[in-house]
Amino acid sequence: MNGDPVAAVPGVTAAGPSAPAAIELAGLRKRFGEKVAVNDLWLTVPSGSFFGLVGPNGAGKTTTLRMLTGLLRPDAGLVRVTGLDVWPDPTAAKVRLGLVPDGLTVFERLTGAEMLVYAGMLRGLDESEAQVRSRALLDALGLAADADALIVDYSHGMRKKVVLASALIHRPDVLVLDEPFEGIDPVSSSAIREVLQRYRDAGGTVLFSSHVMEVVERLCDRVAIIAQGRILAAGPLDALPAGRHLEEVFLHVVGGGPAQAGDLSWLGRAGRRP
Amino acid sequence: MSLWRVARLFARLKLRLVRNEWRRGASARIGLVLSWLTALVLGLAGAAVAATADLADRRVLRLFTLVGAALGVAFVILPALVIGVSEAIGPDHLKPYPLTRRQQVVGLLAAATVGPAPLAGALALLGAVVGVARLTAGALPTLVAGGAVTTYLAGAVAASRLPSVLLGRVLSSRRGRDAALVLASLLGVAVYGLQFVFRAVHRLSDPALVRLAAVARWLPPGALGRSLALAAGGNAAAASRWLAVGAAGVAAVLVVWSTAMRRQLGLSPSPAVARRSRTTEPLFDGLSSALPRSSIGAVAARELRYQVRDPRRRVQALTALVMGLVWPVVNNLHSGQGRAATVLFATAACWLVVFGATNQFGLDGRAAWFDLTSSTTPRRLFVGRNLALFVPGFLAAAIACGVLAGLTGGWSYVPAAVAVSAAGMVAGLGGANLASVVAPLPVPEGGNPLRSGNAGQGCVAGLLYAVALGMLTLLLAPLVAGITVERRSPTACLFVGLAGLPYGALAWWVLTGAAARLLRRRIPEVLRAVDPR
Repeated sequence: MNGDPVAAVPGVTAAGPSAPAAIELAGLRKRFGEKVAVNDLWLTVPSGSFFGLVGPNGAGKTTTLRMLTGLLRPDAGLVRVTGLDVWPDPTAAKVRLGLVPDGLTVFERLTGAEMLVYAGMLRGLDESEAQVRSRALLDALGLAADADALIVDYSHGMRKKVVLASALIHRPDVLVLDEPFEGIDPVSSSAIREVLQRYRDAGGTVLFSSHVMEVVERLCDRVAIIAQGRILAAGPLDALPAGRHLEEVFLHVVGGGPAQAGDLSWLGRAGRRP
Repeated sequence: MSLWRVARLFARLKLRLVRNEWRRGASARIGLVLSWLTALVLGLAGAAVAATADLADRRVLRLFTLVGAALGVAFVILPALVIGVSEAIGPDHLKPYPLTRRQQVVGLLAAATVGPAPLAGALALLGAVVGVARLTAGALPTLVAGGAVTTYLAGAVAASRLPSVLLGRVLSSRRGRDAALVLASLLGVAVYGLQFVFRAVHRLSDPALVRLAAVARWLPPGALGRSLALAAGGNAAAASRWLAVGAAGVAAVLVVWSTAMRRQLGLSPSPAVARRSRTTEPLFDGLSSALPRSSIGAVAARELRYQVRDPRRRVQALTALVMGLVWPVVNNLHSGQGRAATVLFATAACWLVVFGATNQFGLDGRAAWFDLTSSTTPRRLFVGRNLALFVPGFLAAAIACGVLAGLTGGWSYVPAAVAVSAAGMVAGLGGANLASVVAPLPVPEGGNPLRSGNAGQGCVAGLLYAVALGMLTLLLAPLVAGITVERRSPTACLFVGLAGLPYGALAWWVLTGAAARLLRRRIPEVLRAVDPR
């Protein structure tokens, strides 16, 4: 682990020396019965970064993000968003956060346009401003033609986009996305990437979880690898040596590899049918 | 793969599904044990009756025809009620596998023979064969009876699969589910009307039964029941004829099922995107246009839209209207008196709206995170939701008051009924807000329309709901007691209503404040309760 190109000390911050922290997680713990989902997790996400949280299934990514956004109470630890402690006053912290959770359920009996105006007004925008931003987001995400259809009739990719738009409409300081690119087509993925890049270029901070290394490598400037509820490595992606991919580092850090055990030789017997 | 192997594979698969049900927790185990026990008891009872009845009696012949037909219809209807809930193996599960149509039919039929309902049917029908054998010395009638029983079972099993094949696609579409939900709610309300059906059945004369049996015998299960009874009478030839009629009907069911299944396997669902007319104000049009343009107004507008678009809320509204209007009207007409005080019953519409609001976060549990992670305060969320519940609830009560007053001439009671409705709703919504935070429950949005009102959490949910209803009943009790005592005087009732308004406002203020404070501390717990994924 020490030889990894990304900072490979558990608990190390991924912040640069001068960047103020958008997100600080300190000693975060969460246990579900016997299962320890997050175990003494430390992480700092610098302001203005595009940060990827990668890890295998069950690593604790979603649990961490839920604790960060006020959806799940941690057993111990500290969560700060732009310097504000989330748990003593979740409402104040939520003003600064935008959230795209995994599962994607929003109020599906609203139309896309209604949903966005609703999201904006719930976040304190006045109606006219919510409408202006709603139209702009619908256009940017390619949803304008379906703005007046009920979300329940949307495809998976359209739902992802409308949830993202709902999270962005109040222009949060920090955008947290849980597996935003899972199960969507390249066209939708490209539209989402474009909007996220524009948000980051305008000074926003993006933290997203994924287990698709290519996406993380393409989008992020920083990354943290999480497994078994701990950050195993974190740091800037440009520290990766030329020719070495994140997936190799990930597999090395997490300890995965090619399938072992089990005789799969029958896979090679093409043409044989039961 | 041979058909026999396919049948064995599917039967074992179904058995495995039934066994795995055991691992889903205590409530699933209790349900499983109860359903098998029920099947066993019903099956054995049916077997005992069939084995000991005097099947040669002509009245018993008619009875067997009718009961056979009724059970056949039940085999079609009952599985239709659990579409989307049952773990039964359906055609959709077979799509990825290279099975011929015949293999699919045989496999699904084999799977359908495993379970409590087929067990009960098989036991009862076995009893019928024993009964025939007991009555007749001949092997031929017993053989025909065996054939009738086997055909009946095959037909019942095939018929029980028909709804999922014919209606599964319709019910799995959003519009289909919505329509089914509303229809199901009407069926639920119609339970009240069952008493009239029972009275009618009770009055059925012998000639009427004869006519009914004459029709039922041409249905496959009726024909097979008749065949069984004729075999018991030793008339093997007539029994064989009716067996042929029944078998032809069962064969037709199998063909319909197989054809429908092929269609289902060949089609893939295509998402239909509904188009709606574009409005200048996406959230605030129609009834919502009068709402304040704030987060409170936005929550209220969203809730109002849901009351129009969400079938489960439509069911609640419909039930409230029916109970507040139809029930008093029917009772009034039934009693034959035009009692003016009947107008006071219109307040029942409000009570039901309040009772339906005791689980405000559970109804859309998976979307509750959106409101609860916004920066809007819990109090504003409650105010918005209550506003959306109060306006249509109060309107429904006012309409019910007007209609009942028109029918009974009790116009003098209208002001009192309106005031009591308002006071009751305000007080009750305060209690409902608190109940929503103290005991939030998930409401699964399954494919089964009849499951809409069920929190899906079994006994615990039922108890919590009962406690919440008890609390609301206590809150509403002073108003109900007041108008009950003073029901002969419209003026005194109005006084009760007017005095109830500050009572209601105070109760709402105190209880909503408590609910908001509690919710602020309990957001993660509430979210986990309503969306336990």
